[in-house]
Amino acid sequence: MHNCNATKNYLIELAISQTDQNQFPPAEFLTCSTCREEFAALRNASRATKAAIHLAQPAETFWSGYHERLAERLARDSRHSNGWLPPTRPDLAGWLRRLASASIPVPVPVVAGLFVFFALSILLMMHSGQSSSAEPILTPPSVITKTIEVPVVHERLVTRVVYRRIPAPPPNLVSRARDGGKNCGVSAI
Amino acid sequence: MTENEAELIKRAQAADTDAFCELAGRYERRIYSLALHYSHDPQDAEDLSQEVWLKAYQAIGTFRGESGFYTWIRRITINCFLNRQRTSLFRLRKETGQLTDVQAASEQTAIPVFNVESALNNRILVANVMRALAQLTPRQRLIFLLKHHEGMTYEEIAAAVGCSTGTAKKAVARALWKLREQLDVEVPPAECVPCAAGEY
Repeated sequence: MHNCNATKNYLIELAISQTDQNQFPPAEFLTCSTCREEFAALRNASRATKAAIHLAQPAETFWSGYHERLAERLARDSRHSNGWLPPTRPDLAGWLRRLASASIPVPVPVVAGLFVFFALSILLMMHSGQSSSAEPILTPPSVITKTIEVPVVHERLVTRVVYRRIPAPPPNLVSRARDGGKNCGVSAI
Repeated sequence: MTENEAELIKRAQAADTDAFCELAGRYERRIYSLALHYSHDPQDAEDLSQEVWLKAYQAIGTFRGESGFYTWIRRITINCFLNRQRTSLFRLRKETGQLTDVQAASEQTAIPVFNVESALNNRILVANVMRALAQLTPRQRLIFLLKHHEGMTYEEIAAAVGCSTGTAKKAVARALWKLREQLDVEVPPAECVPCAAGEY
């Protein structure tokens, strides 16, 4: 289905591009009388503008004077600046000067947002400072677990087997041992 | 770029003012015409166009020939126009002296005076077109001129002016509607004959 609004931009483009030609837009647009009239009016406006631009050109006598004035201005400018100069290597001082005097365009909403952000953060900082000085907060005792190394004396059990030479018993004790101790009592009695 | 033009550019880059003047002579009418329809004041147009040539002369050493010389000059012209748009002096003159400037511009034109009536009609046409263009913002006017007068594509215009393609299209549409309104264009009956006859 044909929609006049949808073809509006196309008609403008067509009217500008067809200013010099006696062509008609595609049949699709010419089935609608509104579009047809719109196209014709736009094309005529475009043609009239082109004609007016052509007619508005200054007279030939103007150009010689214009060119002279331009040449004079160029000569004056070239005397001052000595024409085009190749770009010199930027030195550090010049670079720093440029950096110091450089400016960048920043949108107003961004500046406003930053300003509000800084103002709020300063206010918050001030508020937190005041509240901390007004009522000191008692912090509950905290238990800190810390592992420390303590030197411990280790006890060591050493089992040592000691062999002792036992001295030989006297001979009377040996005889007594042989008779089983029977004569011990008798002899003692 | 012709060989002669390349030679002239080379000489201009070596600070030869005469060579640069010869180059300027080739395109000065186009640049002046753009400036005249942008500023709709002959004095401003001359100032603007000469400023363009001065800037071009100062920057000719940076021209590397990657694009045509006219494309390069046009780029400088657009930048000059946009810079001038920002200055308040220019705007003030625009607001105060529009109509007299338009009349003065139409009186200084090359409109032939063989037929008094047609000359008068032409002057009225020029004045109406200039008045219609004056109703646009400088940016819209520049976009329209770049499209209509220079035949640039919307993409080229968007890149040169620093706007979106949609903005460029809207500006052209607005300008054309304004012109249509101002010129009070009537559709000649001959235009509709083929359509009415059912050829389309």
